[in-house]
Amino acid sequence: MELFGQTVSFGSGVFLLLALTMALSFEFVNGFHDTANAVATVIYTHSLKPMVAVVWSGCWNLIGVLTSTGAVAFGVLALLPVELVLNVGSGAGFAMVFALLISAIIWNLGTWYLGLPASSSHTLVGSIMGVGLANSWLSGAHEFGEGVNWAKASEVGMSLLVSPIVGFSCAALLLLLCKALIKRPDLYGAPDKDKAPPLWIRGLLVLTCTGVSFAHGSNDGQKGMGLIMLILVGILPLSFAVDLNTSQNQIKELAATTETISFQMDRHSPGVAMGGYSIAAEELSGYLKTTGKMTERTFAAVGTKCREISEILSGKNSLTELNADQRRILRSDLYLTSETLGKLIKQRKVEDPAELKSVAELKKHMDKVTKFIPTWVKVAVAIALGLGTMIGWKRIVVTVGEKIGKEHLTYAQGASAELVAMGTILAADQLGLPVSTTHVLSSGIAGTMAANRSGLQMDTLRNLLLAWVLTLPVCVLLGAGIFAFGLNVILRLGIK
Amino acid sequence: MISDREVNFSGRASGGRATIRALTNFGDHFEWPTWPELRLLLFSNGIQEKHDAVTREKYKRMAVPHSFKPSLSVMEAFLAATVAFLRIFLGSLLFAFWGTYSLFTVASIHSTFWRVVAVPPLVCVFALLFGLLMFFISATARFFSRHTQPKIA
Repeated sequence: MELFGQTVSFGSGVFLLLALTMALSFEFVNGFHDTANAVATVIYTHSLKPMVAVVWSGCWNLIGVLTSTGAVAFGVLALLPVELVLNVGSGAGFAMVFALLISAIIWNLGTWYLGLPASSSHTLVGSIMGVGLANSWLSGAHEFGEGVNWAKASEVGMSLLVSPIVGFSCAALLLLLCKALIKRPDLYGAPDKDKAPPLWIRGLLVLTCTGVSFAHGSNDGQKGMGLIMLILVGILPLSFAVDLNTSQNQIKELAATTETISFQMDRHSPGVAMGGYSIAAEELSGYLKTTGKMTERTFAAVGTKCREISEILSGKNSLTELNADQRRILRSDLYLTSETLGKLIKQRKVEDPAELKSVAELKKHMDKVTKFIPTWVKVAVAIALGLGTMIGWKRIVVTVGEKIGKEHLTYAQGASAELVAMGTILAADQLGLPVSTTHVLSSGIAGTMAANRSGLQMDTLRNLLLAWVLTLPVCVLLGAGIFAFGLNVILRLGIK
Repeated sequence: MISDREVNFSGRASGGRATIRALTNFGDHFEWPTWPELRLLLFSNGIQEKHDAVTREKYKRMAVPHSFKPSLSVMEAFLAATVAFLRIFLGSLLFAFWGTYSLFTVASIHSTFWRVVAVPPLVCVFALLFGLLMFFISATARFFSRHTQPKIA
């Protein structure tokens, strides 16, 4: 049967639909986990009726997903072992995708029933690290731990660690600033049980609710998008390995730039011969591992890969002119070269400013061809997240309003915490880093409670900490266990 | 003759014990279950409802992580999460097989008219299978939940 212009067998079709439904289910679960964070204050303060707030939030989540850049999606994928990302269509690749999805869903559901406010981001990152560790352990060719991109993991870990602290302190500061500048007592009182707040406060709360919903959609939606793109590249490489809508000009520019860079790289590695494209690929894969060190051979390998890309693209007006194998090779080359260039830039191995500029430019061109997300994927994720949002609102309203502090949440506290949460998530979005909406908002509320000297409910904080501490190790174990089990089953079934 | 088989289990519909009439259409009278009844029949896990019905107001009835009083023991939470995961996984698997089979079937029909005609029965088949799957999972969950002791907060 033809699907997206590619012939698909019955088995591949089942795999594709199963993986897509699971990925969308992950987003759905993520939706009902996180959404009420956004609507809590407007419902709790009677600024909007629950149903209106939920639909409003769902719509802004949807817009957030649709307008997202994809940076977070590919940031999360960069945590995965390179060899599995490049061979996602293999048995091990499928085991990886299902291990990620299953472990993330199980932990999200488990913590939901146990009442632990776990973060979906921590869950996914933990599962990814588990898969990476299991992969390096199971494949004898690697050292244990090599399968995880530790540099990226520490970057993501830092963002997950720092964002709640930013939420806590910024929300506290904002509330204090607000108290100093705006002398309106009604802003600092607990909401009336049945009455809506004054119009301007209402407007402010609706605005912050809109912002948090939008930011949540744009950050959390991308995690599902990244997983779906992995699935599509694995099962339908002909249609999704590279962006087939790449224009003729972009192709020509990419071909020319890769050729230029290949000469520049050769100058860094005089006399080093790369014995073929596959050896260059191995060299780059090795360099991208945590233990990988840059040598002259790294530059030679980049030069070789750039030449291969240039050869594949020369004379082509559209990427549809490439056959299935060429598309797969092109994706693999672009991914490896781009990630290597990124690492070289980060490690300041390219010193000449002009060269640094052209290398960064090339990386950007390369990423455009491989790091793309079709609109229908965004729409599907947006709908799943939006539906989840519309279901889960009841849960957090009470918490955010009443359970974090000892006193009721005031209008100013709600608005400060939400403004800071919105800002933090959107900033993380621009940096391509995943953050936990739950933790940022909860710590923001806690910050305002501390600044207001309202006191904190220790039980709630203990639960937050417990979820925070448990999530990563449990998900690492779950991800590793399910991946090892899946791989074992796949090998026994004889699937390559 | 009307042949009603009454299935009783704890539920949230009436605040205490809800009665579901799982109807067997042996007679000349068929009564469709109401949506709350159907929802309980297909989607209850027999665990949360016990707590909800006894201890919670309408606002707090969902398994509320952020209210931090889920009232479930680790065993109950494990069972509830397993049931929820099974619904997602088996539901996805059913959708995948049905979806692929449907796509192949529709693709094999050459006439556009017959393709359109084929869609509603295929959707009905899925709805039926999905309903049966959910009922089976709910029944199994209720069977196991009978062996867990509720810890009412």
